[in-house]
Amino acid sequence: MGDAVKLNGAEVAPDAWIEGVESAEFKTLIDAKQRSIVPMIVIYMIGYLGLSVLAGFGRGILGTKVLGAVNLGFVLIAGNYVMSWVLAIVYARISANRHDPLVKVVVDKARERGKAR
Amino acid sequence: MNLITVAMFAAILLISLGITAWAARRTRTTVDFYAAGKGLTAAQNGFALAGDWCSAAAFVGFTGLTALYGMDGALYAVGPLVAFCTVLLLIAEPLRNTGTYTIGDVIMYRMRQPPALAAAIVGTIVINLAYLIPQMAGAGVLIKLLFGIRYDVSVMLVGLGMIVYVAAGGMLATSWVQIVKAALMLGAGAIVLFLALAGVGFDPLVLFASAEAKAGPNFLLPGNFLKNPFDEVSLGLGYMLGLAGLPHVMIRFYTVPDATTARRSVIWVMFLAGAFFACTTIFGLAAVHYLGPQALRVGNPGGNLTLPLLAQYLAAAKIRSAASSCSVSFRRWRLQPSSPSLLG
Repeated sequence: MGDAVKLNGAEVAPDAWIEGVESAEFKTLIDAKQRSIVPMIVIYMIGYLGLSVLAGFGRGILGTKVLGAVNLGFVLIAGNYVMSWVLAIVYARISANRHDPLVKVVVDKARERGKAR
Repeated sequence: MNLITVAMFAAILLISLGITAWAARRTRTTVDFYAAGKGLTAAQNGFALAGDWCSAAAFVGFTGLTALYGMDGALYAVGPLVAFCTVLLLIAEPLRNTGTYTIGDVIMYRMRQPPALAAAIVGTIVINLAYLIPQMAGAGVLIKLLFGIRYDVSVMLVGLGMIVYVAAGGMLATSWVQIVKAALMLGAGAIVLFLALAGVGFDPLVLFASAEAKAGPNFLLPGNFLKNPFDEVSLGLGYMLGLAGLPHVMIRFYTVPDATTARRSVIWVMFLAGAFFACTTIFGLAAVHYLGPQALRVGNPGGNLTLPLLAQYLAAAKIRSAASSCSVSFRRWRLQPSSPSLLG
């Protein structure tokens, strides 16, 4: 669609988007985000779906006693709590320290291009 | 009618109506009404998310499931926390950046096609109906029990109350009502957790051993509730992918000023709600330990009364022990009337 897009109340020409998306700083940001997010998604999918599959098809394995009456299933459930909380903290730190400065660069450069027009 | 229960109900009703009146005076613009002026902090939105996410169905249901079926209840409780990983990593920030008030905004922004928006609207209405109807039915049953009025009248009263809250106070009122609810619920949960663990010398392993001894050797195994193995996988997939499609939770990310705050509010809810869900597993095992598996089925075959029964038992036990320790110190005082500390 060729019409201008409204962004925070300001009219932005459609080719400004293409220019922004193709810019080097935007590619750097997307690469940085993917490098951290993709491994995290893989970790929690294996951790949580693995537990769900074992709960369905590995009931004997989950029933293995580990600590007193506590079996492997409950240990893995506790592990899922810890995994989620650790991922939350790690992601918060990575995005504050690495992603947010890159976002600022992208936004600042886009503003400059807008003024130059 | 139980006087204390009615008084507590009235107090909470007055607090929430007070919040609504306060919010109604502050709500002037469209952004105020639909997104609380986009002015909530990360902690406020985190508590409000926890209030949304720890519904009565969740904490009463998970406790009952754990008490009656063992590990399957714990699997039900951990899923809603892991589900927030999907929202944290993929959904919260882009949703805050691209939308204004609804999920439909995001779809329309990306697709630019009216039929896509229509699909988002239909999805929102269908999902909200599936949430509203059981919640209204549950609240209706509670009002009927509390005041002894007809069920259909109770449901209509609940519906009228909801309309008043939302129409008068908008998103600001619902946010603060959820924040108060989350604080009350987490506080009450902490008290029950303390009392439940105090009875076993703060050793949760005792609860596992005792629950297994009382409810049978298969109790701590998966599959007591979800017998078909594929149901367990389906539960996991449903949680992992489903939360991001719940409009009433996702619109919370529009109440904060920017994507950074949206991200930080997810961290808050993951710790608040996650800790609470972990507690429901302890509560379920504690209920089996203190009350025995048979007592839990008598009142309600679905186990929904497990948590109230456990809280009642623990509070009564606490009062008994407090009363006995009081009488002990009283006797000691009677025996030593010339004690210098007492005579000053």
